[in-house]
Amino acid sequence: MPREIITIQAGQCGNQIGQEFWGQLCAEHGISRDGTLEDFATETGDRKDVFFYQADDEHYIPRAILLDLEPRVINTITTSAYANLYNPENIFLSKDGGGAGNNWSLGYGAGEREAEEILEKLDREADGSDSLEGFMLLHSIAGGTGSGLGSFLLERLNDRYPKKLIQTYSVFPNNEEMSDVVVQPYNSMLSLKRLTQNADCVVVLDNAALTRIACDRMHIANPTFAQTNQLVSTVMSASTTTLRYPGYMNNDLVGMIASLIPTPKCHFLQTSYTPFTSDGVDHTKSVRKTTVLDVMRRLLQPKNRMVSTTPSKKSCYVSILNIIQGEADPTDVHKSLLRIRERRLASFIPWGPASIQVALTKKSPYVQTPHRVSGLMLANHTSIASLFQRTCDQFDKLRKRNAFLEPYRQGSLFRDGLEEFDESREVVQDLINEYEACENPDYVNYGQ
Amino acid sequence: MPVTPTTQSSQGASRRHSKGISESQSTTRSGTVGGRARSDSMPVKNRETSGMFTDDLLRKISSKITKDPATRSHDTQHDENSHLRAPLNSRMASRSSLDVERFSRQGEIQKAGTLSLKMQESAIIEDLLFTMMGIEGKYISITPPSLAEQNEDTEYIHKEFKTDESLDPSLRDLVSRILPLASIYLSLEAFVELHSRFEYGFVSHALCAAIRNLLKNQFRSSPDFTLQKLWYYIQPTMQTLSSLDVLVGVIRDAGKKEVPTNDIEALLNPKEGAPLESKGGSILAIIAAGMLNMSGDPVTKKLYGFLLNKASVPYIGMLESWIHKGEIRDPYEEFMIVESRKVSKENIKEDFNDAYWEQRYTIRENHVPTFLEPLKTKILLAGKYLNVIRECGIHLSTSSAEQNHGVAAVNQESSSYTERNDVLAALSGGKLVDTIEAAYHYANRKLLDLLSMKRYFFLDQSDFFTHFLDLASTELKRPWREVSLTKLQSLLDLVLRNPSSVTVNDVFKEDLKVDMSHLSLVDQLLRIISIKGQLQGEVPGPGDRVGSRISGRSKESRARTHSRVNSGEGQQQQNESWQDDNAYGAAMEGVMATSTELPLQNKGTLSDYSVKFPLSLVISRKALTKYQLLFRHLLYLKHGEQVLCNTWTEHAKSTIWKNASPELKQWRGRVYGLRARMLTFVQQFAYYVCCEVLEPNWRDLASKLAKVSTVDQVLQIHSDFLDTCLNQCMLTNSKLLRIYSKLMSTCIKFTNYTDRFTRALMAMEVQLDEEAAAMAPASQVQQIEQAMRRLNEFEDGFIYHLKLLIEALNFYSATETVQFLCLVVRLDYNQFYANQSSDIGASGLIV
Repeated sequence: MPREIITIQAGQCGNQIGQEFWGQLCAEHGISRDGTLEDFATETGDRKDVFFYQADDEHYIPRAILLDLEPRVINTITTSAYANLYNPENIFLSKDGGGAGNNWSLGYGAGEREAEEILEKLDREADGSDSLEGFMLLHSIAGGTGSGLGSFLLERLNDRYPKKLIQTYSVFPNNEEMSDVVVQPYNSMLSLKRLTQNADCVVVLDNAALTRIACDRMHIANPTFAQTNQLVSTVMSASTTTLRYPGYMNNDLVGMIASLIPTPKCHFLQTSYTPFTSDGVDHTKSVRKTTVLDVMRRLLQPKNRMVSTTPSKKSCYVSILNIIQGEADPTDVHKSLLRIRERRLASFIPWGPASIQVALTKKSPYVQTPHRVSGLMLANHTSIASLFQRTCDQFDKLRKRNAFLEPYRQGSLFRDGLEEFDESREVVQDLINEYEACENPDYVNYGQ
Repeated sequence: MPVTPTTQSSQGASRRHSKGISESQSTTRSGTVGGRARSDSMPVKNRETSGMFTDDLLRKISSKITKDPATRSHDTQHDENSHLRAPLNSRMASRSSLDVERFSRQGEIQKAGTLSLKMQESAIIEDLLFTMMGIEGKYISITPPSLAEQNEDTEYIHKEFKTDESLDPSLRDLVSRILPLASIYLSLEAFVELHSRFEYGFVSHALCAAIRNLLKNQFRSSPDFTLQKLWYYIQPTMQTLSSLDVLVGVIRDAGKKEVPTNDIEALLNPKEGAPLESKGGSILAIIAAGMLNMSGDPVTKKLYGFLLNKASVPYIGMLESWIHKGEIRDPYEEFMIVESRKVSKENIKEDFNDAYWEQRYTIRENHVPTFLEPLKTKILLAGKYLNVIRECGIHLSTSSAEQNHGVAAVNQESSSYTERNDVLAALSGGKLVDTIEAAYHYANRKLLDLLSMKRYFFLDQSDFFTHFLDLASTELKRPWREVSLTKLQSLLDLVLRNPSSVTVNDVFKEDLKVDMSHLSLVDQLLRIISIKGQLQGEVPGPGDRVGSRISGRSKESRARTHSRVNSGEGQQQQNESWQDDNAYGAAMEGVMATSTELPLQNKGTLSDYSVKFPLSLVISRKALTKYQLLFRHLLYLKHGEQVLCNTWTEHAKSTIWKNASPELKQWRGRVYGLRARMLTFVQQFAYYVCCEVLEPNWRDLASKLAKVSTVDQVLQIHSDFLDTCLNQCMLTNSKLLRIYSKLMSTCIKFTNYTDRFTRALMAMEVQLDEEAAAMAPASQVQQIEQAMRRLNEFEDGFIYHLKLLIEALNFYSATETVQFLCLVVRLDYNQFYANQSSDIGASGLIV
């Protein structure tokens, strides 16, 4: 009966994040690594069925589909302590095992080839749920598998399940410095088109920002992927708490998303989380006094944001949803709201009512945190356009020189030419324009 | 020969011990007592009855006397036959023919003076001894009652004795000093005899037994030869008996007092017999008071203590059974707690009210012993709680062992006490612990129960409800008269029993029922308010009466609390009157019929909750109605949120909206914008209701409940909680309610409008594909124009009302509750509406 959500993790990044995410969920619900319920997990009031279902032997199985074109990451998962957690039928590995080689086209092509098998898995999962709410895709948009296969899935899901929500957690590349993957602007651009057109809600996570937060907030000199992935999984688990611990409000995904995304096109969300605690390193330093006001104020600070954007003067919030976990008093929330308004810590759109929505949720009884209150902010902010603009700029540089295009021509989409690139560029430009229009008072008449 | 040597010896010892001190005291005391006896003196009336009772006693005493060789020698001098016959015969039947034959009265009198002094003395001693047993002597006779006094109720009154005139003056003086003892004895005998009758109750029985015991002990000691010695020896006896007499006198006086009975029970079945005042608790109260008064006199105090101890045994027994088991074993109506049998728990199932709790057990004020006075409410409550728990069918065996221990302790202490304070300490100690324990049991249970109320009525964990709405949506979309309640109920059960639901572990889920109300929430509330507001003219027939009555009442007391209570009552009555009132009902149905396109809006789905017994004390029908109002308020919000979310999904997912035609694009943004506004409004409102009204108030309630110790407090706190919630959810203000309902209905109409429009667009698209593009424009343009007009209406209406609401909230926050300000902040956080005030309405947005 709960509104189930099926998680699809694609590619190296997606599977690594997924691995962390499921570990976190298991810990919060008192599910052991092999899926059985821990002895101490006696408290009711949580809803495990949104993300898990029970097998015949009562052990919990994640509603997850693991997809990759090369076996490395999935092999680590299947040899880890969580090996027995997943349904082996839900793991898809490409036959050749060659991977997508950071080529969007290859990933997309592999999707086309293996569509039947992958969709069969999806259908099976979807049939197994009573009232499916939607899908959650975890991927990165820079690589090959996550971006290419992910894009393919986004298109297909929309056709196949036209009424189901599609939410993605998309990791954007660190585009402040050139990475070793030179074609990443191409991959990003092609994925962005699908994210704009086929997803309903994209939670943007940015490797640059994740690394920065790990360095500054958690005092880790050279954060590993495992550590940044942990940040992502924390955000993911926090953003799903209202679904997993039902309270008065925000008990379904659509309710949360609908208020965050007033106009369907502007559906790219930013996140902040506070306070982060690092495992092991210097615990005491990071423990501070946490009040609701503290948390809500810190959430609005750019340095806690998990996306690197460069906001302009006109940039504003379209909407904000704060998910506050722990002992929060509604009167404190009210005071904080007033204080934030007084200090003008957040500017909002001029064309409609907008406010900081607050969802108060329980903390998992099984996970001990040193903080009284912790918070996650999901925000729709127009400054996200600057991120797309940067991607566009980098894309344009490459595209002007027609560099590295050869591998893409192998894909079916590009056989007849490279119009797909320009089309994608156009779609993203439209998106940027829409976000800019969103900053004006007459946005409701945009498009006339 | 049932004389136990131990008591005798101890008695003797104690007497010898106190000999020296009490002599001078007792002479003065006997004087006062004698005076009292004389002043009270009334003739004998029921000698026969007293004779019967003393019979046994007399036999013992006289046999004792006859055994005493010294006494016998005196006796034989006077009457040698006395030891051969049954010793009392000569005296007892003083009016018998035998006596008349042997001693005529005249002869006796003459004889007394003629006898030698020694003979006189011995004769008079013998006479005295008999007199003290309540039997007339040869030289001492009972004065017959005077005519005037005979009419009165004289059975208890002291008898006066007359001594033979010819007796030696010194002897006579002594005799006259001893005689009051005899009259007191008789009076006590009479008292004991009378009060031992069954209708005087256990306490009287116990007291009588105690007094009888004392009397026995007093006369067991044999008097000595001379009158002087006799005088000397009876001094302590004299004192004891006179103290007793004073006490008995007070009890009698109390018994004679007219009791103002306000006890309904007593009025309904008047019982002949003892007046209420002179039994049970009041006797104990009198003894205790006497004890307190005599606290300067150790002997009397000890005596009263003894009596109190003995007399209170049955009372304490009752008290224990009450405070430990919640039972009343009180056949003679002497206990301080009254149970009203008529108010049974079966009644409240049909008619939820507080009467059970308030009227089932009450305190009989005049039966509360003074020393229990400060504890009486505690005692009452302790028993009440236990009673409730017992009636819930919970066995008390676990705690009974513990309690038995407590009982034993109380017994021990009460049996050994001499100090009144000790009793108090013992009693209150045991009871306090018990009260608190019971109260806690009860409060905890109730807390648990209320939790499930919260879950179902406040949609605390509302996921199950979304599911229910999903399942039942088709059923609910039908006109309300066609909706099958059983189907809905089964759907609800299905949802609640779903193993993956959080509700599956809730034991109270079975109590949830679905019901439909044919009045929409707002209509219902507005009617309630309008009834209060003297608009009863609108409601014809029986409603008129109800309305005027209530409005009259609310006029009387302007206090808001009162009128809020009225609103609950008003509603119930309104519901009843509604059913009677066909004319109005028909009109209403007409309204329903015209608006079947918005079925959910006009009929509320009602969650009913069947309340089982113990809980029904707290959750009366009134409270339940309030819960339902809150629930429907929430449901309405949830429904609004859900339809808006569905519209959102439609807007976000359907290709028509995504790849809009140029015409549609023109105003797509405005539809989105308006939808966003509505969703913000609904969600912020829902947040306000849930997190800023219900949850804090709920926590407040819970923390208060954790502290309370009595159920009455619980009732009070609970009803306060509901009233506050209703008020802060602005369900008590007609103006706010009207604006709010207007806004909500605009939202829901808007979703219907866009849905229909989406469908129309889809149909058009199909048409466009099939037919030539030339054909379409005329109708399409027309349709779009129409849609534009409606959109304008919606925009204007919504913004107008929302501004109105914000203004009204600002206004009422001063008078009703400051909590409204929180809502204002939420609704217009970025000052969007405030900034628009210059250009009224959405005119600025309209092209």
